Amino acid sequence: MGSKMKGMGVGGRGREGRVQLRGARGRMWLMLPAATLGAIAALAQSSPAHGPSAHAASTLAFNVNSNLHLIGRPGHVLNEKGTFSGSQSGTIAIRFTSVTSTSGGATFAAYSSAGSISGQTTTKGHVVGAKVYFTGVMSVTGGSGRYAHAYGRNLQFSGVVDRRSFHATTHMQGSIRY
Amino acid sequence: MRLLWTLLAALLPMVAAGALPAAAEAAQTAKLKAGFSPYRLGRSTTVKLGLEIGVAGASDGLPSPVTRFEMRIPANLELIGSSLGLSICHPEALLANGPDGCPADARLGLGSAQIKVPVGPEPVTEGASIEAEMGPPVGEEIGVLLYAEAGTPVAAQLIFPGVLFGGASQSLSTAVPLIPSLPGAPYISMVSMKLSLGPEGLTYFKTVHGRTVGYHPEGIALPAHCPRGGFRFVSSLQFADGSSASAASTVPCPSRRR
Repeated sequence: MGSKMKGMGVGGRGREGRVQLRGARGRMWLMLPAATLGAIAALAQSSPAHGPSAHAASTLAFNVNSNLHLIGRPGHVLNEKGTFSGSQSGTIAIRFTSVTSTSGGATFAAYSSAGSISGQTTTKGHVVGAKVYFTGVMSVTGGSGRYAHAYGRNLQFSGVVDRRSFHATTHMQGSIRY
Repeated sequence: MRLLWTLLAALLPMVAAGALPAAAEAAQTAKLKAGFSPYRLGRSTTVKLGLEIGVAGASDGLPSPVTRFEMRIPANLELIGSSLGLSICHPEALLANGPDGCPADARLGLGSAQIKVPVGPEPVTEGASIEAEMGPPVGEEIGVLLYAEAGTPVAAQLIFPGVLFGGASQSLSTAVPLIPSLPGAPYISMVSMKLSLGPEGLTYFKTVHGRTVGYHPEGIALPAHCPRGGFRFVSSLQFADGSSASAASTVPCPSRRR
């Protein structure tokens, strides 16, 4: 896995190299010797080969349950933190930015020893007394460490918020590429 | 729902036999006033609604009875972020024992109504108390039971089952049964209603270290930022004579403190 991370790092530098090259190219025609230009042009051509698109992405089966508790006061936004376990384990933070009976949304970040993944969900919920049941679709939009370039779409997201304590349980399931 | 209406019919002491009130031909008017208490953005609040129903051009006219009531609530007021209505009140228990038949933490709010009873040459004004309870869910939506109790001259206990629809067009919608005054007399008419939805006046109970303690629930959450133009409420009413009326009220954004 270390080699994969190294490969992603090279890709990142490659992208930066291309941007610098485009920005500097006009001035360089006037200022730099032809040999230098040739070297930069060669680098520019080779950079895409080291980019993330050339790197074979791995797939992670993500199937976790989480238990969360409210941070701060309940209100328009529910900030929840807790732990998750299953195919991976670690800590998780979910920010429910809108929880209505027909639509809602949340952002999340899950941290494991290998790195973190983050993303967002759209949810639809319904209230039965103290319980708010919600289901939705989750997208993974990024991460850090091993999962620095994690992405995924159409993961399943479901859960329950108990309005007596604002404890929440969630289930996330799907595939993440990184 | 069928059971509820059966129970309602059984409880009504008088038989509906009246014609519509004489004023039913006149156009009804509605006036709405909405407010928050307390009013602090980002905090929980009690939503206060006041509705007045009249007859156009007649200050003391008798409006046609209301048959359907809908209150559109700003979408950014959320019940789910509150701890209101933690238990469910079942209509059968509510009809059998009144609000005491329901868990205290099913209560969503309190209110009152003024009704006019068309007996004799001048209608008699009567007061009724209202309680809003968290009812069983209606499909995926929140069920709300409005319980009204009146004393004299017309004694009645009624449940108006409603639905709180969520989403961008959040609304509380309820059908109002026609309430007969006396046999052969017209139906009674509601002329005003005040309803508070929130923790003000409510006490919930929980067990802490084996002891039952009372507490005030978290109210409806106000957003941290006021929507452009304020919080707009719109009520729509349908009347027994087939007419309708609507009224709107906007709670303005709070003035910025320097």
